[in-house]
Amino acid sequence: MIVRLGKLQLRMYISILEKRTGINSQQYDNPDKHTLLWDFDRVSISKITKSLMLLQRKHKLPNIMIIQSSVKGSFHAYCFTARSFREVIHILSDTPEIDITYLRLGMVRGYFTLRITPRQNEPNFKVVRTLMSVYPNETNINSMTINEYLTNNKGGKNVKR
Amino acid sequence: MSKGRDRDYEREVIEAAKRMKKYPEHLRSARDSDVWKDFLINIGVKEDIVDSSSGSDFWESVREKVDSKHIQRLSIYQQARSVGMPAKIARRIRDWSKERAIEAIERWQMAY
Repeated sequence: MIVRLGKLQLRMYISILEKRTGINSQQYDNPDKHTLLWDFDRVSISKITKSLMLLQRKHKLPNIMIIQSSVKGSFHAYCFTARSFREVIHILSDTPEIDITYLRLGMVRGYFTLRITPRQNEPNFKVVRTLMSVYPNETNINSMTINEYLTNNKGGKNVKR
Repeated sequence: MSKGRDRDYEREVIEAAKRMKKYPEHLRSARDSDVWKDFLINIGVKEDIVDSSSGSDFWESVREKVDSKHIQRLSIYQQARSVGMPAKIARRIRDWSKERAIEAIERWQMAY
């Protein structure tokens, strides 16, 4: 609803928010270092695999795990690195299929967040592929940070074609 | 303690304080989070590995969980095609040494 009073404008929105938990790229013990987290919306798994494999070789990345995050064909990818924020931005922006809204928000916020609790009426997360690497993990799986947030995003609406 | 060591210690404290200042307050460590642990267990990581959280154990566990057919490596031909190299050239570089072929793919990626 928009109400205009001369030069003033009053906007009111009503939306149903859901509480979710997310894992963040920023590390708890070493906040200057980040883990690589990717978010893909409605991209085929083969396209994601090809892009990530090239990035893995180019940037000497350790193993990458691709997880199906919802039934609509959305995927998340995890790579347990300890890289600077600048380097993480460089790698993520080098991924053509990445969800651009996720990248933009993460860059402004200073860390990237992936949802780890399933949405209502959606199945749980499932590992669909692992891209093995000769390089060892740079960080521990529990070294990341976690937060809770409220959102009205039902997923998949960030897709732009 | 010598003066040099004192200075090193002081610098370490200052750097740690800077890091703490930079750290956003609303973020918690994943180490103590049950949600993160549940997530890892749900995707197939064994409970004792989640607690011990050793990197190599973690990957062994994930490897056990996913079917071996899903663990893939791209061939030189597939890598060449994925950067837009024509099939004719991609087939030709297949016979080259791996290093030379990868160099050619990278050059192609930069040039086109």
